[in-house]
Amino acid sequence: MSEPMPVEAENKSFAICQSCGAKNPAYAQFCYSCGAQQTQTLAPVSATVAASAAPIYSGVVLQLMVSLFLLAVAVFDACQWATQDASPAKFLRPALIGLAAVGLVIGARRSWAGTFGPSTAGGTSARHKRQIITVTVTIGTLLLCTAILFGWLIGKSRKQLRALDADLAQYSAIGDKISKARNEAGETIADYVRMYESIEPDVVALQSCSSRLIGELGDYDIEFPEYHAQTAKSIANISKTQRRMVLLMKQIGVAKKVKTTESDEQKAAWLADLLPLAQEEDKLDDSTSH
Amino acid sequence: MHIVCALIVYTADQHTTTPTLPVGWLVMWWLCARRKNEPIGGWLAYYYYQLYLGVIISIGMVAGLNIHSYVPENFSGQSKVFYMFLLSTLPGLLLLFFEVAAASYLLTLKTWDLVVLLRRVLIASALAEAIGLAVDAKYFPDNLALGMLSFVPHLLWIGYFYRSERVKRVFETHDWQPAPKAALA
Repeated sequence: MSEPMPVEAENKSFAICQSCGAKNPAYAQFCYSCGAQQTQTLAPVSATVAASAAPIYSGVVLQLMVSLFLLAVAVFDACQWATQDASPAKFLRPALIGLAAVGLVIGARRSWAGTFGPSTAGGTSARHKRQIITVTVTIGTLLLCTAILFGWLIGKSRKQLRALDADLAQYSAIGDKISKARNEAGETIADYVRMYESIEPDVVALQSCSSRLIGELGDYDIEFPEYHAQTAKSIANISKTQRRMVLLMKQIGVAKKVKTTESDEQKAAWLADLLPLAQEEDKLDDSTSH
Repeated sequence: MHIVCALIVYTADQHTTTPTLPVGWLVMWWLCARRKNEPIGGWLAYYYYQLYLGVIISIGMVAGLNIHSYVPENFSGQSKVFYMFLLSTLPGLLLLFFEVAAASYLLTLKTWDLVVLLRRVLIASALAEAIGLAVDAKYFPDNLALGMLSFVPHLLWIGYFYRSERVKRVFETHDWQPAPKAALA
């Protein structure tokens, strides 16, 4: 892609070619249509004159860019905050960044007033003013939309992962507590009944936690398909825990019933009602080991 | 035209700014070559096409595929790796906004001071990419090739905005005029 050789001239209005009648820019030295030399071509201006007469916008433009950027950071942070816990204390950071952005906007307004003051009034200045506003609004809108999108996506993902981490920790802690209580139960029926009564709130909590985890891991599996094998294994383990908790609730029910029966009938009731449930629970572990 | 745009988007480079795959590159080249007599034509038009398409593709890629890499909870127990990842990628992404903004103001206002501003932003972007490459070399060697695909074009565009006659005539002296048809024939 070679660059064509330019011809120096001032570029403003149009002129009609005397040879073919085509409309050309006033600065054209040759007709765009027929190539005939144009007599009314304006004199070229030197680079130094053109550059020295050019207005300087980089200061105000840079301030506008930094203000927009800070505003976008504040919006991004606020979106993350809103999609997560939305606690008032944590709003301080986006609020401070937003305030800094507002401060910069005020500074940019002063630069704007200096750049487009009464001394610079004119057609070009007014056109440039409109152009700066148009570009700022367009880029600002797109940037803020992007900040909202990224803030929302990252905030949502963080919330999901935090909930998953918290539930996995709770799942593990309650599971350990139940296992410990069961392992440390005495040897008599009365000891077992006490143990079952003591673990009932934990079993209920673990059932609820497991249900939440199944849903959360399902979402995780959709978002991270590359870890599907590991996630599927975790879901299978938690499903097994859910089945175990159902059996444990039945065992707790039997233990409560045994507690109300006469002491000489307790052993028979225990063997008849609880033993099959315990054997069923053992099968859960057998099915895993196979 | 929509098909052409879709083709460009489909075949363009997926990392940051510059479409590099042959079909996308050829379509872009054709579009820019058609405009080579215009003030914003030739390589200058190519710069703007690749910049705006690159932004769209970058946002799409980060939002659609790569957003989890920016979630700190995914790096639990590996916070150093997370911060290194941010150091490698974030400055370049943030400076992309400044590049788009400076280039857009330049495109509409066409003043020389904005060329100087854009050059500085490009230099800052190249520095950020160089730091990113150093981080990638140590922590994410798989990303090194993609990083180079973004870094090298930045260097080329810096050279272009310093050396191009078209840039000087369009934005400084405002005397760009295409060669007449008769002269081209």
